[in-house]
Amino acid sequence: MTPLFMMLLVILAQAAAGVICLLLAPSEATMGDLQQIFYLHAPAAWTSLCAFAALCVAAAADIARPSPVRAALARSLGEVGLLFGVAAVATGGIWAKTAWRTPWVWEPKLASALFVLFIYAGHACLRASGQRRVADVYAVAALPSVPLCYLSTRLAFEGLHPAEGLAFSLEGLMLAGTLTAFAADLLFAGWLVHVAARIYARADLEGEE
Amino acid sequence: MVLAAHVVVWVLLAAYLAYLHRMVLGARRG
Repeated sequence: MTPLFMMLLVILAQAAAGVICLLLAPSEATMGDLQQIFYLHAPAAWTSLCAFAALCVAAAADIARPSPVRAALARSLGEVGLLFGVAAVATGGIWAKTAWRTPWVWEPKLASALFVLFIYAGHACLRASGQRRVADVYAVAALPSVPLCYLSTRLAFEGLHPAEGLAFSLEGLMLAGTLTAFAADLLFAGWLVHVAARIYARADLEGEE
Repeated sequence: MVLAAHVVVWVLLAAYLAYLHRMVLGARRG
């Protein structure tokens, strides 16, 4: 699959998600149009956690059989996961500013999401400073933070953030919009990882020559 | 607020693409 074809696929998927979420899906009864931020927030958060889980696999593969391609894949997965994670926390804060009257509350889901972002920011710093082996081991060891963040509303005391399964109890076009936006974000993240990994792999190979 | 959320996402994406672009230029310069 060429990068251009992937990009076209990403544009189509994002356009489809935009049409369903912003034009076709009904407004939520209590929040109105503010609820549309959810279609940015939740899919970005899930995509971020998927990228971090995939990073663990890529890092483990790079430990077992080191190669410039695996190393580049691990670095780009970490960065793209961080990008989507920051987007999820930022959009969540914008939503909460109106819905909760404060952009930030120290409660299990928000605190664990911030914790995960700091962990993977550490990974990005390690990779940017050239400590590839340390970063690989770090990425594997950091994996438990991903399910802990996802399940934080069940593991700790009850906070303000809605439980994770709530998104799947949406009906009709709201659920269709959420799932389409998630699929579009996964495709988008895949394209970004592909582009970034090519850049890093090329820079690594040129550095070895 | 919905527009602000979209703007934040686009700014983050633009920042990451600019970072990647800098990496490409850096690799070319050696």
